[in-house]
Amino acid sequence: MKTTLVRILLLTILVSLILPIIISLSIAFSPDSFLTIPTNNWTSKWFYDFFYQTRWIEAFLRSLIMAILSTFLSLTFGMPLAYAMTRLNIPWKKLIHGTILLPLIIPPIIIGMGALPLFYAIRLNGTTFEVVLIHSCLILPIIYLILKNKIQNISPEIENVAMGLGAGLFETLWYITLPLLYPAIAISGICGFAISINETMVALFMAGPTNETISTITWSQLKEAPTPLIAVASIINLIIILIGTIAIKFASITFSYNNNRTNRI
Amino acid sequence: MIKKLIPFIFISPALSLITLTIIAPLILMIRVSLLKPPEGTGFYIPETFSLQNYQSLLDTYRISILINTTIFALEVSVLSILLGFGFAILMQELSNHWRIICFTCLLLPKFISPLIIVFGLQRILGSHGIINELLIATHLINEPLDLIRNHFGALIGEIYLTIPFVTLFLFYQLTSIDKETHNAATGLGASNYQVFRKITLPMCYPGILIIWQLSIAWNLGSFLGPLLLGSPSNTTISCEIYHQAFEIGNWPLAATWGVLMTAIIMTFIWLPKLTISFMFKENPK
Repeated sequence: MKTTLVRILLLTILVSLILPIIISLSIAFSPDSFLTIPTNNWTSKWFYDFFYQTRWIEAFLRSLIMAILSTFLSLTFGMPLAYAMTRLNIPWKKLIHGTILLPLIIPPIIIGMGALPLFYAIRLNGTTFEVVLIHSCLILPIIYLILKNKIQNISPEIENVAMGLGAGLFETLWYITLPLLYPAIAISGICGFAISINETMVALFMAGPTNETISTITWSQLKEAPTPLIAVASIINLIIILIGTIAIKFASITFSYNNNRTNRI
Repeated sequence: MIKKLIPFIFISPALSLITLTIIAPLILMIRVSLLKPPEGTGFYIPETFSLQNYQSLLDTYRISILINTTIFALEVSVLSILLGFGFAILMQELSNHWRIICFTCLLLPKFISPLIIVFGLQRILGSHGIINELLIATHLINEPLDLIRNHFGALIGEIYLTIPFVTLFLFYQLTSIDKETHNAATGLGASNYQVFRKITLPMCYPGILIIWQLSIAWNLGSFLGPLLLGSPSNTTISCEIYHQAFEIGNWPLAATWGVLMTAIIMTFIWLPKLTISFMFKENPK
């Protein structure tokens, strides 16, 4: 009796969590151009349509490039940061920690509003690069937290052994620490990619006609005349993220043997 | 010599990124908020100084927006913590198989644009949405209920966007409690309710405090829920910033709102911390 009740409660929660997403994504298969939830007629014509609309395709490719670049940028900046904050001696560690977590608590609308006049002054406005910069700053705290947690779990003895055997700091980092961090780097990369590609508020402030992203087109369509292409773009984004996640899962299974060996040292 | 510089070389790229994209804009925003609004085009009139923007915040309509936003953020954060905590406790009892399904359902909203979620909620709660159609088809009501374009709609929208983070955070908080404490309490004759009330809940207080602060900080900046699912009577500061900056073009006033919002958020982050450290200084043991 009690378990049935719990199960019904659980199913209700799960369905209500997922329902809005399923409803809005199902519109991609609707045959009408105005938004109806398809009941018996399912079509995939909007997917073909999506790839013939230059505005959507350009925005899609631009979002993709932005997401990849900003993930890459904040990974390259975040890795040494996380290592230095856990292992090395740095004055005012608490203050720096708080500063890096600022993008988590300051709402993106304020970041966008503050950064627009600044980038206008240094003549970066309207470029892809300004959005990449801000996105990488939004991703940085998450990458930092994940990597820091992982580095804390790696025993410092392993590095000490390598250094005791004559390796320099950079050799140790390259041959010992970095391979142990691969899973965490992959996971934080996926998280950063997902955040950047779905980011709306900053893109809204930054985007002009020269650097539109998927989110800003979705926004302008939602305010005026929505078409099923919104749902199509979202589905394609979701598929990319899911493929990435599954690839990481398989890669980690394949390489787990190697990792186990390194961990045992 | 170089060895001493290595830590600074490691942290300087990230710190300069943060400085360029967060700290410099915040300082610039404070400066802009002290400028006069433009008469024609442009963001502001440079090289002026006035406190006129801060004075103009003191009329009843703008104060009501401020109070609205704060109350709205408090409501959303408390409700999503209550719901999320319940769900996290439920998730604890589940088998591994079901737990993975729960995780997928919680992570999926984070892999999708928030616009899509809000859009789906419009389809569900609207006057021709699923819920109204169902209720009318079963003859429970004759007229469609007003579920969006009011306070309830905005609340639901923001809770949907906040709850996955809250649930995941509280779930990890719950799993980090040592199972042995439960066994010890049960062995000493405590009932399930007593174990929850005397052991589990007090051990979760620090985590609940942190996630409460974070969700307040996120929801003080809530934008999509109130704008797309709420009515004009419950606009928040973010909607006002967007309105002032893009529709009217009064950049200095928008910057003033931004400074005010940052100040409120910092108060909510620092005040509990200061209170706690003050309380524990009185009796250190």
